[in-house]
Order: sequence, then C-alpha cells, then structure tokens
Amino acid sequence: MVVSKQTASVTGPGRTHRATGSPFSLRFLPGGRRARERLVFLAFLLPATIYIVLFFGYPLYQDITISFQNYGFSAVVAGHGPYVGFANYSAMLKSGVTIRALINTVVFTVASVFFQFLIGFAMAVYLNRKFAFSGLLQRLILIPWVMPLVITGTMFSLIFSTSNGLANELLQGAGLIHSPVGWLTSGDLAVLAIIIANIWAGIPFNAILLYSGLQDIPEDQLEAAKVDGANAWQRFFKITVPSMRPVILIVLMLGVVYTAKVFDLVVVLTNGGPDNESQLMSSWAYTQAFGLFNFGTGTAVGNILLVFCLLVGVIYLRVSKDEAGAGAMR
Amino acid sequence: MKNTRRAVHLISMIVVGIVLFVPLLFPLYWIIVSSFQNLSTIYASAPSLFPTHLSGSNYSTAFSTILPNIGVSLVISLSVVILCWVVGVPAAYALARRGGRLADLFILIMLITQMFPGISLSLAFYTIFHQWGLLGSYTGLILADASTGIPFVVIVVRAFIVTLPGELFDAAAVDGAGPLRMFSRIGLPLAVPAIMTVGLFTFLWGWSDFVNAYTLNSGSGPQPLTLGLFKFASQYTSNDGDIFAAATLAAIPTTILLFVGQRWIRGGLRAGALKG
Repeated sequence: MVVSKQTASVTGPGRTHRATGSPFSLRFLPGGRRARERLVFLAFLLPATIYIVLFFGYPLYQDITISFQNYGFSAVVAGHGPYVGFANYSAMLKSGVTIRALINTVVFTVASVFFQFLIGFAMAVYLNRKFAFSGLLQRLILIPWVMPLVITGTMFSLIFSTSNGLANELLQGAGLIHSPVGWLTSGDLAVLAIIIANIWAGIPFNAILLYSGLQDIPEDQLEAAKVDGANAWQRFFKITVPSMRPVILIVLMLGVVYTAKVFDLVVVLTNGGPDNESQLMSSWAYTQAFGLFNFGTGTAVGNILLVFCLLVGVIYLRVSKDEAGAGAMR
Repeated sequence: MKNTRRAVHLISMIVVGIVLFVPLLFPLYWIIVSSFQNLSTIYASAPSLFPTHLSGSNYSTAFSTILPNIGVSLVISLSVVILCWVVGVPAAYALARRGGRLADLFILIMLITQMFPGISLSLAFYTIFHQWGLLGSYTGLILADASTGIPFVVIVVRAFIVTLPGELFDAAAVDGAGPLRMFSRIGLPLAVPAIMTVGLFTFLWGWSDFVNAYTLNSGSGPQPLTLGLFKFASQYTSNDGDIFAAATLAAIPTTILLFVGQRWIRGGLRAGALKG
C-alpha cells in the first residue's frame, strides 16, 4: 500500500492531486486500499442483492406459501388466507384438465425442441456454406426471433383462421383437404397449431447458435478427413457432430427450459380452449388464478412447472460445466 | 461434364434453400401483403399471395390504436434497460474483480433465476404489488420486467470483464487510482461491448413482455404494445384487415432494432443466449 502511494507521488503531483480531488475519490474513508476496495465492491453488490431478494426470493416465498392456502380475492386483499395443507395440490392433480395440461406441456416441449433443433441445424449447415446472400439471410431469419411472441401468436391466429387463413387456403389449394379445417376450435389441432407457431418462433435461436458452433470447428480437421477419403456424411457425423457436442447440449437444454414456460402463444392463439383442451401448465396456472380467482391452486400448478424448469436447469448447469460448456458461454 | 455437375449442385442448393427458408419467411410476407389489401380481397376464395389493389386503409385504425401502446412500451423498455444497467453492471464488475466462494454462490443464484417460469413470478408479483399499491402502474411493470434482466446482466457482463487482462487494473492501481476510479475509467469503458449487448437484450425483453403486463396491468394502467395488440386483436375479431395492419406495425420496431444492433445481438446469443 505504501509502495503504491509512493509510486503515485513519483509519477507526478498533478496526477495525485487529480486522483484525490476527483469526485470518485474515497480517500476520506478509513483503512487501506484493500479495505476501501472491499467496501466499494460490497456497495456494488448491494442493489443487485436487494433486487434478487425482493423480486425472486420474496415471490418464491409467496408462491410456496400461497399454494398451501385457500387464497381467493379476500386473501389477496388481506395478504394471507387460511392454510389448507396439500389440498390445492391434490385438487389439481385429481383434475383432468391438469393432467391434460401436463401432457400438452410435455408434447409441446418435446415436439417444439425436436423440430426447432432439426430445422435449425439444417439451416446452420446451409448458412455455413458461405454464399452471396448468407449474411442477409442470417439477418432475415432473426426477425421471427426478435418479434414479441404476442405478435407471432396474432399472426398465427390469422394463419390458422378457419374461414380464410393461409393454412386452409394452402392445404385446399394443394387438394389435401376438401373443406376448411377448424384449427383452433378442436383440442388436438389447437395444440398442433400452437406447436407449429412455437417451432416457427424458435428456429432462429437454434439456427444462429448452431451456426456459430459450426464456425468454431477447425477447418483443417475437416480438410484432413476429406483428404483421407471421408465423404460428406462421414465428416458430418464423425467430426462436426462430436465437436459440437457442448453447443448441441446447451441448445437442447435451454430449449426445453424456455419452451416449457411459454405462455404468450397459448393465451393469444387459444386461451387454453376449446373447453381447456389446449391448456399448457403456464396458461392453466393463469386460468386458475385469474379466471377462477383461486391463487392457491394457481400457484400450485405454477410450482409444478417451476420444479420441472429448475430440475432441467440444474441438469443443464451440471452438463454445461462437465462439457466445458463454459466455452460456449464465453 | 464438370459444368453440368456444378449446375446440378447449384440448383440443388437453391432448392434446399427454398425448402428451408421460405416456410420461415413466407408468413411474414403474407401478413404484410394482406395488411395492404382491403377486406374483400383478403376474403376472396382464391389465395391472394400476390398483392392486388394495394391500399393503406387498414392502417388508419391500426395506427391510432397501436401508436400510444408503442409509446408506453418505449418508456417501459428504456427504463428496464437503465434499471438493469444501474443495478447489474456494478455487481458484475465487483464479482469479476473479486472471486471466491461467495461470488460463485451469487452467480449460481443468478443462473437459477433464469430458469423461473414467467407465470410463477407474475402470480406472486400480483399478490405482492397488490399490497404495495403497484398494480397497474409504470413502476410495477418496470420492476417486474427487469427481474429476469438484472441477473442476465450480471452473468454476461461479469463473464466479459473476467476475460480482460488484469494488468490494466494493476497499472491503474500503480497510478494511484482508487476502486471507483478504476471502475469508471477502466472497467466501464472496456466492458462497453458486453454492456451494449445486455442493454439490447433487456430492451427486447421489456418490449416483448406479455405475462407481466397481462397479469399486472390488464385491468388498468399503462398498456404496452403486446397488451394493446392482444386486446385489439380479440376486440376487432370481425375486421381482420385492421389486425393484419396492427401486427405488421407492431413488428416494425424490433425489426429495425435487429438491423441496427445486429452485432450486439450475435454477441449476446453467443454469450449464453437467454430468452425468457
């Protein structure tokens, strides 16, 4: 400490003066440089810590406690309701709609992630071939990704509209169907429509991340394999895929977490209908809380989803650590 | 022989390109074209994939409805960015400059927050904000929208500052710079790329948020673009033309942002690519 002060005075009195005179100086504080630094760092961490406690810690506490209470409108006003033990959870798990919402969420998540990944990977490989419009195309495909999901949902509700939507027009034009299909008015088709919309919205994320993963593969490795007589498929499965393992895992895991909690698309496209047949866990939690004004059952449904997301998240953190995923997080 | 093979290759590349990219881009084209057509053309039985009778009449209603929502969204998103920067960047700097077990725990908590489903937070926010009197307000929505953004800022900016050469800070220490001066003169300027990236992402999240707006501000208070479009689309179910126009208008701001901020977006996608 003494040394650094001496050096400072050696570099010139002007400099030292400016340092002490600046509004950033903390020389008035007692203690040495290290103590001051520690104090500043603690002050830097304080607002973020308070924020996390108030806007993650407290909500999590609310979600847990409310799910064990009978929490209707009067409880919202009072700030607490009577405790009912596991009644909310057992009521929800007995409900056919919850089971349907669970199945829908799993099907929705698996199908979305699978097709987003497959199509995204194909696009990434295509973009990696460096052609004239590659740069422009990369920009264009990001448009669906930066678009708020509410707009995507609105767009697809027009596309899947029964009377004059694009989907029916194209299918009829191709002769695949003879009369218009009610996409959003039958449960299974509605889920399919939500899945298609979500795949559309999620492809860019997969494509761009996988594309940057492809660019990290050393060119000479692929060249060497080519010289050794490996064909394109062999090169793809023996070199490209193995060296992209960390990126692939990260894309898939993040895909699962982010897809399982999708809310906007369902609400805009079907609002869970018809007759709750296209509910996902997220929209079902909302319907309980605001449709039926039962926050107890609403948070119970939300907590089931939360536990699932956290489980996948923990696996993701594990895998990304083991797989030196830190490289991709850089 | 070689020329034919090259031509076949080129044609097959073009075909593959069309198969891959047209389904992705065509819906956008269809919405835009439809937004410029009057209802009778949209409702014509034959698919109207090519623009005929272009007219901007759909836009008058859409414009007057959506424009105030765009203003609200702008205020909210910019406030979210500033809040995330002010709270997140200093924390990121402190964690980057000083590691340790406690810092690791802090970062782990930040990562876990990114897994929270929006609906779980929103339901809790509703009950909390009811007590705090923040329902249907700008403040409440901004605070809620910044909640996933702040941990994201901490994660990404910290990861960036850690990669900066330590000698820069050592040299400043030798020059007698205190911790605050080092932050403002060295840490901040060098971290600008990461700060821009997280700024862009948190802006996009604030702009795209629906779950918080729908739960907290649905009844009253400022109506952001997502909520405005949703209400507009469910209200005017009879007039698809207006909805086509409103959806097109609503998609313009983020598309502009995409082209302006392209390099920051790519950086952010690489930096962990989180979208809530």
